[in-house]
Amino acid sequence: MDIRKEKKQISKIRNGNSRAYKLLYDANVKPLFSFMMQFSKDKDQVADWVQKAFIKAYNSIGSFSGKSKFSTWLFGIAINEMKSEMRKLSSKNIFHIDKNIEEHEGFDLVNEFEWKQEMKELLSVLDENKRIVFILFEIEGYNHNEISKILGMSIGNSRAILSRAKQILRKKWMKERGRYEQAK
Amino acid sequence: MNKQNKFYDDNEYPNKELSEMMWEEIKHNITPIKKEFNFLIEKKSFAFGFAAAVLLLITSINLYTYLTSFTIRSEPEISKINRVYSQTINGMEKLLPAALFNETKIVNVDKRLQADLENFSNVNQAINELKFEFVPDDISLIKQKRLRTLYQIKLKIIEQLILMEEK
Repeated sequence: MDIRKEKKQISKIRNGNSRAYKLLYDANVKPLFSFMMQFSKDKDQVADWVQKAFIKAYNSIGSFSGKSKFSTWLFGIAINEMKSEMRKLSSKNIFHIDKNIEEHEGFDLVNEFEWKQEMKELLSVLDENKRIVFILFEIEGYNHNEISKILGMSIGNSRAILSRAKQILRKKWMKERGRYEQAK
Repeated sequence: MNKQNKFYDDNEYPNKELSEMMWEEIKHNITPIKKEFNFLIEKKSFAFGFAAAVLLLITSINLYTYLTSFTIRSEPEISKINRVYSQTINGMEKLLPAALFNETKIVNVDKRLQADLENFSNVNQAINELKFEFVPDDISLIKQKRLRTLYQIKLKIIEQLILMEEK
């Protein structure tokens, strides 16, 4: 949904038209849900985060300035909600890497780099903030300005976190690759 | 979007059923923003609008009054003089007996009086013809001067008639 159409919908919502919110929901639910799935494999948990994010966003729509995309603001609310919940929950629901991934049939790390699975495996070593920044930047396509708004940090900080995340991932990948080549 | 498609598995997206279920839950927890707030704003807007309309009306009346008096103040001297002549003549005409202008009642009219009455009638006609030529707000000096001359003649005639009447 382009930003002009978004503004129109938000204006309708502010005037008491709650049905206009459905359009915003439809445009943002999939990206938000799939993003949140990177932090928990429990779909019910993720659905709960997503619902709470949308409800909070609606209830504070009056404070949305409209200077950024609605998704930027929504992601920020969702991440805060997730972090708050995670502090309460134990780590058992957090995605763990599958240590025995090389045992999967047909899975050839030497000949083929499988972006999805390997990337997720690597990402799991990152702490929460690094993982969020990396996914927002590399996967969701947000720039540092938008990330800084989502996470309430400076642009410089966002850049620094991403840079550090990539260093760790590179190191980890090199290490994993070396290990598999040795095993071969 | 391409990177998202490559990175996220299909099962990491919500299916239709799950999306609808989440929406139902959200819908039950949101209430439309109450319009009372809007009503208050509208009420204030109405009050301000009404007050503005009243002010505008008062301003318009004052402006009209000012412009009218400005028009009068700004008219040329000669027009003001003619206006005064006209008002004076109207006042003095009321002093003349009505019988003077009633042809059926006057039996014996001396020549001088008859001449005056004729002059009076001619001057009146000339004045009316000249006024007929005037367009609204006509400040043509030649016309105004001519009018003044006619007024002066008429005034003199009226004066003579009044004096004659006194005799």
